[in-house]
Amino acid sequence: MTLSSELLRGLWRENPTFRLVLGMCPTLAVTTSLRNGLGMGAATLAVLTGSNLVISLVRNVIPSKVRIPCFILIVATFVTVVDLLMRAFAPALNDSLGIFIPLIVVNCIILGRAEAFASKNSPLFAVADGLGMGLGFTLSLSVIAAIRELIGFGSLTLGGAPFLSISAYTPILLTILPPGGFIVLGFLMAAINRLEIRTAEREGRIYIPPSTDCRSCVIGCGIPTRELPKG
Amino acid sequence: MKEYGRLILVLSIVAFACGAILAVTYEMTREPIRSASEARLFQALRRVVPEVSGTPQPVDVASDDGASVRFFCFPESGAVAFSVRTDQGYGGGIELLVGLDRDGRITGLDVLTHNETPGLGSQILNPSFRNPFVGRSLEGSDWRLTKEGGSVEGISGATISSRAVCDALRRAMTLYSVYRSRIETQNSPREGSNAP
Repeated sequence: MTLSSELLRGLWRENPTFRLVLGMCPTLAVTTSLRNGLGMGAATLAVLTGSNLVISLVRNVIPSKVRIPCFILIVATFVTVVDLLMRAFAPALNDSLGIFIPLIVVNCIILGRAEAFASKNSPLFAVADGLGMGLGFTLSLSVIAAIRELIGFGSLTLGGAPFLSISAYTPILLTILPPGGFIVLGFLMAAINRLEIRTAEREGRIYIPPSTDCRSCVIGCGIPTRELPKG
Repeated sequence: MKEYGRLILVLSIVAFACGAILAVTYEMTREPIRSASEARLFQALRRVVPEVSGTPQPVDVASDDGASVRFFCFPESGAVAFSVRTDQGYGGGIELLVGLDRDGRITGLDVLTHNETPGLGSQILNPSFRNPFVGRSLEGSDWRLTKEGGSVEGISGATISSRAVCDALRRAMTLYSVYRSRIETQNSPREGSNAP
């Protein structure tokens, strides 16, 4: 386990959106434009890194029976502080990201990483994990959002005017509407699975899904799981 | 029993620490947040009354039902800006900031809050929808959509949102024509005295 491998893991191999399938609610809800996707990703990145650090620092003093309420308190405090600071000192940023900040509390990536990683590792690694997972989340959201915006509006906008637009194209509005979120996410996930399986086949090994799935989960939600078929 | 005591203690300490951090942050950011939201309103006022200089003066006019409506007056030019709300939007409420010149013609229009569908109703934010309203006045223009025989070019696929904006604007201008005399009497004698 090295620092850089912790950092890079979140980008592809254990990408929170496509591989761990965490945080689907914000993923589907805010990816209607590239700007929103990037914004939500950046806000989550900041909160995730911060909460990972704090939770890793206090991991040895929190009894395991009350760890979940403690983690939730820490995460909620973090989100509220970020929200207040942004309103006060970065009003322009708050105008574009403001609505996403309170949504971060309900994002299960934060609690998931706190539980599965930060509470068991040293602060340095917890920060690397937070940064990596946050970047992976930002990347996935931006890709989904860019595809949805491009198909749904026929253009891509970041600041004021669109920096890319397709002329003589009739936008398919469905992509922007809620069903479009599911459809785009499904196609992307299928493509990534296909790619992973093909790569594994070519290298002559059996495809194994990421290790952080239900079989190795420690939260113990009580839902019975059956062994996934290999390959 | 001893274990329970420890759990309660740890959870209480964490909750207290979080509460303390929140209290300090809230106290620290209260004033900057207030001035930031004021600056934001000021910028919005600039956008809806673009060709006017000077500081807007808030004037609260008591309405007939006991509530009060806040108008922002620009004393030098006689322009006025105020916000108006409608619940007729597709996703609920839409709040607009409307700027009017001395003769009651629209100088600008800004959407403050809305809940319309992204990609459809949210096009009410586009200048191409908002700009044609500039120059209109209460009398002498048909406030219905073109497809209903009026003169407002609606957004295709977002008739309800377009109609809600028209409706809000028409109500705003009716409101202004009703309160106009009260605003003028309240604004001129104490000019400058009721600055924030």
